[in-house]
Amino acid sequence: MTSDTLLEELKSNRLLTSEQILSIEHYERQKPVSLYIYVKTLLYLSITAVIGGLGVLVYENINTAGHIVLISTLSLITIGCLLFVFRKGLPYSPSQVIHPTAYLDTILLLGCLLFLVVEGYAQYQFEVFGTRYGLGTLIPAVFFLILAYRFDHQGVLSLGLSSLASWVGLTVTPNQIMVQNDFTDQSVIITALVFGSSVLVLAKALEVRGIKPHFNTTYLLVAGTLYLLAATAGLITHEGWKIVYTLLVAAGCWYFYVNARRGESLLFLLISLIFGYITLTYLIFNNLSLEIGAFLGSLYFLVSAAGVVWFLLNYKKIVGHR
Amino acid sequence: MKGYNQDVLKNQRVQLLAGEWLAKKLITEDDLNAITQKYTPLPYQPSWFVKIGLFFFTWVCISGGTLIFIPFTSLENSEKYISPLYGFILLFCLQYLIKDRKLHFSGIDNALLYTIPLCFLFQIIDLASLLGDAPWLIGLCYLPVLGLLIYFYGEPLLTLIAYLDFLYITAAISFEYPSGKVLLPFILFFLSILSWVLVRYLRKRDVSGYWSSALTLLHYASLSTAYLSINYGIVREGNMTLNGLQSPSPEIQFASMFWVLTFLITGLYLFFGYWLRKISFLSLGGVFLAVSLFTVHHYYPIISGEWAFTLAGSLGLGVSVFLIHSLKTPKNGFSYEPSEDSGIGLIAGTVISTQLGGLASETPEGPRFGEGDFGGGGAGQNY
Repeated sequence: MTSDTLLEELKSNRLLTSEQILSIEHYERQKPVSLYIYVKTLLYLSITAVIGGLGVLVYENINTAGHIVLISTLSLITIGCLLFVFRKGLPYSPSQVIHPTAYLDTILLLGCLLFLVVEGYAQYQFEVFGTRYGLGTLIPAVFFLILAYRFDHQGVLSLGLSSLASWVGLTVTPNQIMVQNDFTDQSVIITALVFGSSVLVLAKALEVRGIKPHFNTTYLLVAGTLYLLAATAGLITHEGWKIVYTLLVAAGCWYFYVNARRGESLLFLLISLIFGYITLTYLIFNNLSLEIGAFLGSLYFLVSAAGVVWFLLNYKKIVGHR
Repeated sequence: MKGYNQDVLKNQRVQLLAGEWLAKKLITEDDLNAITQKYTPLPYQPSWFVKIGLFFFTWVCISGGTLIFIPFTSLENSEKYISPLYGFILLFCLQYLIKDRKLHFSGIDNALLYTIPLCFLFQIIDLASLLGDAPWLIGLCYLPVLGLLIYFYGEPLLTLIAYLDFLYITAAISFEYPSGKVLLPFILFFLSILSWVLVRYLRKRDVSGYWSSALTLLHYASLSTAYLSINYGIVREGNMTLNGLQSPSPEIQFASMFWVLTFLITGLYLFFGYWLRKISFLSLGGVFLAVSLFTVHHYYPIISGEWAFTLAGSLGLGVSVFLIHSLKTPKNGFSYEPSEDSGIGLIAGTVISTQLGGLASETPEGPRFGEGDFGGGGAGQNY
């Protein structure tokens, strides 16, 4: 149904006056097309291309006359980006800050990523941190976390958290989280559980004090997901600790569920459901003998999945989601 | 008769528009209330995350249901009736849920709609084998099934599959003739343009509102296949693959014409996008400009890949910042007005930033932060 036909219908039903119809028709003809989502996509793709290209360039030009020029230029651009955001950004506030310069968040993110390229190169070529390897990840972690709070940037906050995770020997990079973290090693699982829960407790404490409460989404997404993955991996790989890990997964799912209920994001409800479902299914099939048979097994999937679908169809009534 | 309730879909569109008019102060709150009262009820529209959950768990449910039939597979000719029977059961469930829960592309109905055609796979293969042994006959026999489902439900992905199936059948038939092989890029280009003209005609008609999502996807798909069918790189590599030639691919006939078309179509999309203020043309033009430049770089690498990435990225950054800066106030029919925040943008930003952090800290011989780079692996003294 076109807008014109619809307007005619609204007019004939006496829901709008002729004057309103005229002004709506004028608006529909003149209304600008928003390029917001497309420009944002272009921005992120461009940053990915620049960082990916530079990440290779700096190492390919080692031992050539150009590499000092290249790394100096990158350092200057990094400083330039940071100076720009300090000059144009609004002052710090514990509540959410929306900067008037629309691309300030992009410049800050670019500056932080270039900082990582330069720092990585400095350690690779000049070993500026020597064997104190921890400094190489702790410095960007602290730096990025400060910048994230100073400029209210959740992307930089996730960079800071990733760097902090690296410092304790973990990865939270989405495509590497299951590859680089050896979840068959109990020490890695415990580190991830301690790291995840500590970050979440810290995030909660900051939220209670009213310091950037909206950052909770990023904390939960990065640290909470790592925690749940570690707890689920522990349940599957360490038989003797089944009860402990089951309780840890249950606690994690409950925390995600509570946050979803508070209206944070329905993604948290989905994460909570998926981890809860995997755990329950694992426990059932791990504890029942194989004699359960294909029929009862498939009946379980049919009924349980139908139950989850029913829950998702009625979650507003059940959890009272805002 | 259609699968979904058309009135409910119409109500949704009316309420969406009325909300926008209220935000622009073109109507009053009372007007909106009156419109809302008149145009009720609405279809069930969950958030994207709930949709994903519904789709995933419906799929688990359907798979679980399939296994229930395992005990009956030992019966004679069971494959001939169990699978279609399951298809009809799913169709009944679909119809019941649509009516009872007012579903419209909620994840549940999508999962059911994708599974139903698969339930008739054996029958389709049997039918196709009666007509001959060419693989495209299976695609041909599937078209009526897909056509019926599209007519009744207007599901976009099924429509896209039917469109690609149609192009595949045409390409396969063309390939059986020597002249068809030579003219294949032009045949596909012509069909794509023809499809786009038809879609454009249908989108303008009031009666097509029921299939608006499917037609929008077809609009993008036909413009994409029109470009891809004459892209120099695709034609050259396709020529090598289809004729069983050895890599590297040899030069093709009329190479200069394909180079011209590669950039001409891209330019036309960008031009029409700007001139007609059509975001579909602009976005596809932007993507295909990148594809065209990559095609040039692939066959004539004037600069190395890392330089190409750095320069292209810098150019993209420059264009983005320029657009943000110049569109602070709407200009030439375009604006940089943030769309309503659904939370997806924030989550996507977090994921992308974390991923970029890993990219930025990659070193060629592995990390020297004690095996621990930004992507983890440990930064303690023991690493």
